[in-house]
Amino acid sequence: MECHVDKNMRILIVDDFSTMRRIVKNLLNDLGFNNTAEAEEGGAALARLRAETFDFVVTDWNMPGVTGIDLLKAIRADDKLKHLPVLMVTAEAKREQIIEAAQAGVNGYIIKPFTAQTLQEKLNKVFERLGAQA
Amino acid sequence: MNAEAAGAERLRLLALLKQALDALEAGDEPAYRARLDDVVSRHPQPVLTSLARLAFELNQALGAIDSRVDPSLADLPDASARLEHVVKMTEEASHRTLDLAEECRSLVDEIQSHPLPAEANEAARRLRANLSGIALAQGYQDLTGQVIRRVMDVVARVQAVLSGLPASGSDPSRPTLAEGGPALDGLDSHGSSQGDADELLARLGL
Repeated sequence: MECHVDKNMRILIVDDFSTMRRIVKNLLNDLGFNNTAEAEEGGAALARLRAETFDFVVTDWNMPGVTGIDLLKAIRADDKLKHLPVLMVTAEAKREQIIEAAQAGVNGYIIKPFTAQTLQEKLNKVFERLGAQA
Repeated sequence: MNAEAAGAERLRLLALLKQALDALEAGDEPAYRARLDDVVSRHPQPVLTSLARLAFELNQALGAIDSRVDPSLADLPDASARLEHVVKMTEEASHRTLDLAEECRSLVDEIQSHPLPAEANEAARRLRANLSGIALAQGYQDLTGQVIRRVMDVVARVQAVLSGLPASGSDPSRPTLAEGGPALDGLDSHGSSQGDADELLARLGL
């Protein structure tokens, strides 16, 4: 499955904790994705998404400023960004929240703490589904 | 207010209203407005007086609470500052650990770039995997940090309530301690596992 994936894709990592951004970045590097950038919250993320070109977003939910769920909704409401795949990586694990994210159009949902294997599986699943749609 | 004062107030109000009516009939707009302002300014006086008294009594009551449990109340801002310090310290320690883990992984790469006996190669492979595990485990800093920030938020709100000030950014719709953030074993029941989440998402077509 991975052979279809462009490893040069540009990925935006959004989390208010610098340690978590670094961990996600390292894991993505291990999987061969080296073209990453970071943002501390949804507002800054949205500004970067609008100013630059990205292919994928990995975001936390609970952040000061614009939260991950509002970032997701803003992406889906933006004509230029609405097709961007969004993977939620969050400690928020309530049923209603997972449903809310799904209804807002999230492409994958990972609950913290997570393993490297989970990240790889969910990424592959997102790419598979996008590949199937294309 | 005694009967005599109430009667005097009534007469004063009548006089003002008559003057206002006279001014209105005479087409004297400024005088008419001025008299009406006089009426209005007299009217809320009892309410304002009551509010001021209430605020004073509330302050007295809070002052009494304050002095009774004073030492712990005085510690609230300090408690928050110390919690923030914990978040900072764990953040620095996590970054330090990540620095070292990354450096070790480069060293393992370097060792593996040379021909190695099979056992040494296997040991290097496991070393690499363990270093990844160490890096991933640093995620605790995010999870504990989120819990600590929520507790700090509660401390700030308690402090605001006790000092009689409206809590800054106080929002009744804001999630309570148990409603958001990482689910804690033995405290929260809302936590779904990754398996639960996958099942739920599959049913939603994801």
